[in-house]
Amino acid sequence: MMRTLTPWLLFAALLAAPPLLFDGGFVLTLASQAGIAIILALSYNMLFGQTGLLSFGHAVYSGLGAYAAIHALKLIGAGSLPFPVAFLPLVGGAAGALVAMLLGYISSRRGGLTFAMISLGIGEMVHAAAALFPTLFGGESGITADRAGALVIKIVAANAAADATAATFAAAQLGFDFSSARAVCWLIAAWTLASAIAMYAFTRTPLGRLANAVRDNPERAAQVGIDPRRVRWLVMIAAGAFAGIAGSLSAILFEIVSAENLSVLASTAMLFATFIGGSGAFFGPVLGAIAHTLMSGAVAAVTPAWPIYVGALFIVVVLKAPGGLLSLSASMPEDTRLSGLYGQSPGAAMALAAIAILAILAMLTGFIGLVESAYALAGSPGGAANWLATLPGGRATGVVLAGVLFIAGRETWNWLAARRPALPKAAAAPERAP
Amino acid sequence: MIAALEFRGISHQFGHRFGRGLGPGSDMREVLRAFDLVITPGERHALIGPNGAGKSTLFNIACGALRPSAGRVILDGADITGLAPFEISRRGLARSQQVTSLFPHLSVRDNLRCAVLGARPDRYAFWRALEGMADVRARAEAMAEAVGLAAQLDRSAGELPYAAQRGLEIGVALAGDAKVILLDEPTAGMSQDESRAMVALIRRLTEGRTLLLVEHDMDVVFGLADRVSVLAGGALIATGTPEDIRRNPQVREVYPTAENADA
Repeated sequence: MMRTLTPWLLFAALLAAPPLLFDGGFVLTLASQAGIAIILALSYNMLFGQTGLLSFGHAVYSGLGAYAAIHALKLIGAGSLPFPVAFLPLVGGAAGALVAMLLGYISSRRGGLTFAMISLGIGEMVHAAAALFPTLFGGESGITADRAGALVIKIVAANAAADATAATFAAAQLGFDFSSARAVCWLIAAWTLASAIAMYAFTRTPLGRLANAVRDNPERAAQVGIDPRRVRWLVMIAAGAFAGIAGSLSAILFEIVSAENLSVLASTAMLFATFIGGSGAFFGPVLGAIAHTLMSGAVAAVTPAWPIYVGALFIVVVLKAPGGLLSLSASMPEDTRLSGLYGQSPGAAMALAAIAILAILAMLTGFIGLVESAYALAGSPGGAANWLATLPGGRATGVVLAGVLFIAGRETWNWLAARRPALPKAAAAPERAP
Repeated sequence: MIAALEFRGISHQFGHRFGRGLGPGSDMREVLRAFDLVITPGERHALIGPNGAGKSTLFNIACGALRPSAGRVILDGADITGLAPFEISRRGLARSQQVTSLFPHLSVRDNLRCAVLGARPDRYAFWRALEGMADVRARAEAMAEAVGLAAQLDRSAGELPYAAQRGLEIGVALAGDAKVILLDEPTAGMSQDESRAMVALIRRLTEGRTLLLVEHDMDVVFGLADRVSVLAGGALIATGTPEDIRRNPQVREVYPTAENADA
């Protein structure tokens, strides 16, 4: 009991901390974005990790859910729809589920590569089609709405007590007022926690387990009476609903939805977050979504080169920790790289660990130096460019310095790796008959 | 009496059809030719024949993985030709694979639970917890006990040793309580001892059910089957009791090992 509850309490605390501690500004925006990214990554992982479906079109469901929500928000603001903004995600969730029901009917026929290709095709198609219907999708500029519109109605109702219609619309908001960033952050935190709990519960249902069976072996699943197509379809509808909820929250947060929300780029961001965190454990995508948000938010605030760092992190994870960051932290003690520390005296072990950390830091600093120097040399403005210009010899010195640092770190790491003793394989492969 | 499983005039060809039939201009290969077989309820029937005789193709046709070029498959009086594999499974026909085919990342318990769920109408439930379905759990654990995996319930299927995987394969096939069981070389790749244990297991678990078995090991065939059919070159050449088959000169010709086996 305690073992399942502890990560959830931690998660709830993590979600509540930003709106509790901050009153506005960058941190709240970042936390709000992280919450949305967490729902998206968990929803993506219902398909990817649990059902074995690699999707390049998940943004279709979140994006169309966001459009449904922004249109509803406009109607609420215009005083023609008495619906609470707090429950707007239900509108987007229903839209996401409906779209997944229609499109999933086509794409759930096959798993594997076929599914991936169809999802890519549908993603591109929906993104392109959005440009054809400017009244629905707002063309280049998108659709905007005012989440505090309901508040305006409230004021009208207060000033003209006799106006019964305005009073009804004001009452529909249930006393919530989302004009402040803090209130929106609370709203997103609440929906993130509720969605995560619901998605966790889903993994414990019969359908959730059958999804794993279809992922592992669809032919065998069919032989025991499970229709793989039906299972994929049902999971897609559920995942579409949660994606729609996340889309609605982004509509409330940014008060704008454009065709960008539907793009394959938006879909791959979910894939990146899920994979970086780890698709094998439930909280893997949560970690990945937070890491991805920090990189696209906090790192982006420091350097325009942030997509390079996201890409590099993705490659490193794919190569060095295919189970994701979460699996790395879980397997740390048995990690063969660090096993070089075993069998050493405490002092030697400490020294080796320190060298390892230094080597990683050197590689990291060297890599960042190379990327930033490349940016500076290309003439892009930025803090790093100005700083590099002050070095003796100018920016070229920075490149050389960074390169030397990176190579030195890498060589040290290789030297350490060569020193590690051979460990017996953790698990013997199951013996096979000839 | 209604047959438990009946093959009526099953023919099957592999390859691309250029002209009509098997004449010039066609690279079709006929694997089954007008195959007829009636299996009565409760019987244990073995299908033997040299490699490439069409045994596995027949299994694939029976369970819906392949659609025959001609002919019908009748399960318990109902035509099941052309139905999807999951529909055939729900009508009470289960099979095990020659090459072990499990859900490798799921535990032994969950492999069996999925097989139990597959046979239930509420299999796609998403409004209740799997843990709360005590009957599903009990049936899965009873099946694990029956195939000797009671101590390995929480191990993932992919980590099990080969013989245990074969046992689980049988367990997954039987967990749904199917009336007709198709086993494709259940003792393939097993040692003598493992093979003997498997035969005893199959005999015990298929009590009261209908069994169709493909097997190369003649000890297994003659120790388990009530009747034996011999398939060669896509056609049925003999059907009878193990004793009949052993004495049949035509069988000896295509299948010399048949006479050496002890009952």
